[in-house]
Amino acid sequence: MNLSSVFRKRSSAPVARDRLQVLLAHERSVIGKSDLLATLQEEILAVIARHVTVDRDAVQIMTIHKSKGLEADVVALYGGFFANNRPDPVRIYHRGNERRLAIGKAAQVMEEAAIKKGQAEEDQRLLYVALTRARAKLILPYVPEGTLTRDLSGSYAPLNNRLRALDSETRLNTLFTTETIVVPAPTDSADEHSADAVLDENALCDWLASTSRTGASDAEFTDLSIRHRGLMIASYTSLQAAGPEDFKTSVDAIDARADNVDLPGGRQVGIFLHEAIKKLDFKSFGNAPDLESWMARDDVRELFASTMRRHGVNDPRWLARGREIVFNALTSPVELGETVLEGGLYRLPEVREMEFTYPIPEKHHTFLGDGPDGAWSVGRGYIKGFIDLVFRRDKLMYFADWKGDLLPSYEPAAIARHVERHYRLQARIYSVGIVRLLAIHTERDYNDRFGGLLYVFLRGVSQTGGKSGFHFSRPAWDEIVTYEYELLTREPASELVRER
Amino acid sequence: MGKVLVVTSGKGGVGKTTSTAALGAALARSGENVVVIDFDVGLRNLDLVMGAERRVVFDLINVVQGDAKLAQALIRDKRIDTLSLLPASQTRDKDALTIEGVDRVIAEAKVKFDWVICDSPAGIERGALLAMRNADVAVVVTNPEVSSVRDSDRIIGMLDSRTLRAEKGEKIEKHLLVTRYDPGRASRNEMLKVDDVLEILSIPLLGIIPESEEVLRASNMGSPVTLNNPDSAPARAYFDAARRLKGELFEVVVPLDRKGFIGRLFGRRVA
Repeated sequence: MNLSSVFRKRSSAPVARDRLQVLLAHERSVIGKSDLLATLQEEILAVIARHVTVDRDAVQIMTIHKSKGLEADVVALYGGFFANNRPDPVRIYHRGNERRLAIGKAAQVMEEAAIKKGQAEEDQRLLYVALTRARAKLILPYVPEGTLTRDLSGSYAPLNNRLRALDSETRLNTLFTTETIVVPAPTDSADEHSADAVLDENALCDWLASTSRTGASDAEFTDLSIRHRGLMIASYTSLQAAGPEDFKTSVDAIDARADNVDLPGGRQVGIFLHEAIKKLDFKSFGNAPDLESWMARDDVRELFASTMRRHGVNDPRWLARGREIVFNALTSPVELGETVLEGGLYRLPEVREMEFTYPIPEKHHTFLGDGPDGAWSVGRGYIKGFIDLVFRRDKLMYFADWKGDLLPSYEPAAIARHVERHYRLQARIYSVGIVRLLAIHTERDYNDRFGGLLYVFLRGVSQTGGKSGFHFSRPAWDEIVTYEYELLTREPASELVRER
Repeated sequence: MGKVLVVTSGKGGVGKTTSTAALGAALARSGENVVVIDFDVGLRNLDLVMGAERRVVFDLINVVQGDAKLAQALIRDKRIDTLSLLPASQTRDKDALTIEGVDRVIAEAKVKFDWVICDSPAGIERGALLAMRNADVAVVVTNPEVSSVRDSDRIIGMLDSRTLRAEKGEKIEKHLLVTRYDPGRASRNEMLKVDDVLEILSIPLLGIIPESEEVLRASNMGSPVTLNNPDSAPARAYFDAARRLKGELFEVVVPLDRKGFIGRLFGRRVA
């Protein structure tokens, strides 16, 4: 036995730990409260395993959001048939180039048309993601006209309507292989939790029936949506001392970016730039970034070209300009308050596209500075946000937001005015959200760990650096505490939270 | 027609599941067709020790209740294709096991396999009785320690009265497997000696498995010790035990780990 084998052998405990974590995470979800996803997964596995030998991992069930970027040989879509009868208390919509939140029912009634339009666009993006996941075979549900007592109203309805159109032209059977499934008529049973795992081929149909019932299992759906919402408050504590590698894994699970910044030049351009930065391999800059040679790289060119195509950016000039903008933003020296980051943002440990979510503060919550997080309940709803870039320098965490705004001037004073006018509330919400996310409770902690917020107006950053295009802010602890109290006293039902 | 073997003990934590996996893999490596069946409904662990926990779809109860066929529920080992696992259910109640259902499953398994090894739950209740019910051979796992020996005595009594063979007036073959044996402590009179245990229980000795960190390491890795490190002392002891199960007769010795200097330094603490 040599030295290396001694050390190799010592490492069996981590293997055991990893195996247990995977196993117990699964068993807890199955054995504990009923979880529709887990139940459905078991039932599908049971049907398949009857015919072929299959590992558990062969069948994966996930939301469309989570499927983004993944592929599989066979993909089946299911759900989105009926609109949620308990809509999200916070809705996002767009007016002109502004992104707005409508909080509460009154606001949502006022902005119904804009919200519906935004929702339809979002649904289309989601369906596009869903339809492009399969390598070999895609299985789509199809509900012909008049087969259900209540017609489809959910996000799947537009696709189903397209299939109906093909059906009426009798082209459906030439384009698709179809198989008829008779769904048992829904029964108005009082027992809403009867979705026990029935291990036979009828199970899938039963499940369809149970979810087609009017108002079926609301509690289960609420429960489900809470547990599958992506990052939760509770998991933010894991960020406190974690290195970037540690939180990368949890960030993998975040939902796809569902909202976008409007850009003059088209909102598509904004999406394109965000997406390109999100997918860019920062290693492509190398040690001595040089615009010419970086732009000449095949992988970089391919990334920008494909991202443009994906988002319908047709002006070919964006291929060069887009790369230039991204290069400058990530490699130019940045001033962070007192200190200057000479090497550019790309050199630091970072995480991109991090979601945060926290409940809109309620009277009974524990406020910042009052102590550690208590039990929080969602009253009026929750605030969600995406942070474009999180980076760490020394022990401080910084947060950057990309802005595509086309402004007459990107000088510090002009940008500061622009931020104050258009992004004031967003900055406040983000600051509170980030402090919550870092589980900071005291001023000392805040000073030790919170670096600041950096707005990067992408178009304004010059290759040589300087202050142009950057806006850095680091509110005092007292201000953060005040921001949170302000959120408590807002009247969300009557007020539209504006701007981004 | 295969042989049905029950691995049982009465007391928990003595090494039934470890021994089931190790003996099953040892027999399979010698070319026998082996299935190991977990009877510990609600607290299954044989799948974990065998490294098949992510492959379980159907289980013993599904087969007993007719929801799945035996062939659909069997998980074939990825390392040895003559070794299969029938896992227990983790979510169901042990009352879901019926006598008729268990008899039917065992009868079917006997046709397909040379060895049907039943991993008994601890205790002397229904689950343990169902596990031993169809047995032709029993391996009683004992630690050289007073409470384990006492419980083994109780189990031996049940093997002689509560199995199908006993009810028909036939003999059931019983073997003693001493696990977690530390020769050093036994020689210092700090641990019951194997001879003492044999004298008290008076059934033939199948093998002595020395206490070894290799056992924990193997279960960490999800691999029977006879596969994970076949040259280790416990693995060699299990291989010997498997040969005796197949009828070979030879002297029982306690294999020892061959340790280098560094192994001696770290060996005891590492796992």
